[in-house]
Amino acid sequence: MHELSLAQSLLDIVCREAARLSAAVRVNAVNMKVGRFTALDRDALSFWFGLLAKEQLGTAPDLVIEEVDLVVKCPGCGAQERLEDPPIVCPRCGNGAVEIVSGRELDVWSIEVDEPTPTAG
Amino acid sequence: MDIPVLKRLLAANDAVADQNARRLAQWKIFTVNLIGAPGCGKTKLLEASLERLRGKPRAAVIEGDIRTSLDAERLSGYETPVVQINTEPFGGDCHLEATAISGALDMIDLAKTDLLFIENVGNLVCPAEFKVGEDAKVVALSVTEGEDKPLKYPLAFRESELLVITKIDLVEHLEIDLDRIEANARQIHPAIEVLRVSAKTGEGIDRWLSWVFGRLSKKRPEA
Ligand SMILES: Nc1nc2c(ncn2[C@@H]2O[C@H](COP(=O)(O)OP(=O)(O)OP(=O)(O)O)[C@@H](O)[C@H]2O)c(=O)[nH]1
Ligand SMILES: [Mg+2]
Ligand SMILES: [Zn+2]
Repeated sequence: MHELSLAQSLLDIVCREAARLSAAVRVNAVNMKVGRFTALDRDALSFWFGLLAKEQLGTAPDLVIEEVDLVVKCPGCGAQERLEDPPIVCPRCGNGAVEIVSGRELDVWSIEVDEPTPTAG
Repeated sequence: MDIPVLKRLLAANDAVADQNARRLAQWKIFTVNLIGAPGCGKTKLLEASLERLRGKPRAAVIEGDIRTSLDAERLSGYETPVVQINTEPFGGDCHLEATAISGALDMIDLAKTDLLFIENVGNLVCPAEFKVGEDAKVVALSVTEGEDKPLKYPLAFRESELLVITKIDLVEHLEIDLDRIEANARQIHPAIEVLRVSAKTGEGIDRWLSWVFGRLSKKRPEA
């Protein structure tokens, strides 16, 4: 399982983005979007992210993972539909040459940080 | 306060994979990323392939394993450069990442290479998620693993252009329906090509090599 190294990549991205805002900013939550058709053990990622963040930041932001549906688009009939299960074919016309529109995401969407306080500094 | 980030987690890996791909394209090397469960017959397939190729076209192999150089040793003696990568120093990873391949490419004389086989770490899940710079992913599934594997591990079958069903010499001892393996793979990836081979008897190895040559000649139409 590669969730430990993914958790470190995630933490690196979060730290870099936070540092761009200000040196001392506190990250409360990290929002991710993960496709239904992405090979990821979400619990393992959360576990490792929490552990690494505690170790390296002293605090663990909430990790919020939003699942993105598997959506395919059919070049034959033009349908764009959500798929719950295989087969990965157009549910309208049965065409197998569908394009995956979403469902393969593994994205860091946003981070939630404290409002800057005017008195700070 | 919500601050947008909008970054792909695998962006760093994919950037290095693209660098590898450009480097391989410069020398017009056709590169296969061979994935499949532990023991499905990846190394044996490469042994049978190198045995036939004997340097024409000139192949090179990158062997990925968590530990040991046993697979690289099996592939020595075919006039083919073999580079072993162990992922243990990088944390015992379950798959090869693009940076590991980048390092391995430094150890291969690319000017004297036509074909590159990358044997990924035995695992039917994680390698599917990581590009390393290949032209094609190929998934190997042995007949002892069962018909349902494409449905249980869909990503590997979706990402691969070719499914090689291995160890078909064993079919007579098993209750396995090869047509059902194919049908299940096509549920996940209707356009997937399928070949049936036995590295033990040699059955189907020519067809597998024809597939490789076909893809190689697409990459260098003038040759
Ligand atoms: N009968 C038969 N046995 C095979 C065939 N191909 C491989 N094997 C046997 O299956 C076992 C595993 O084969 P390997 O080639 O080492 O498999 P692998 O996928 O490289 O394994 P890892 O690298 O450890 O993931 C060995 O004992 C091989 O001899 C085949 O075509 N027929
Ligand atoms: Mg092997
Ligand atoms: Zn359609």
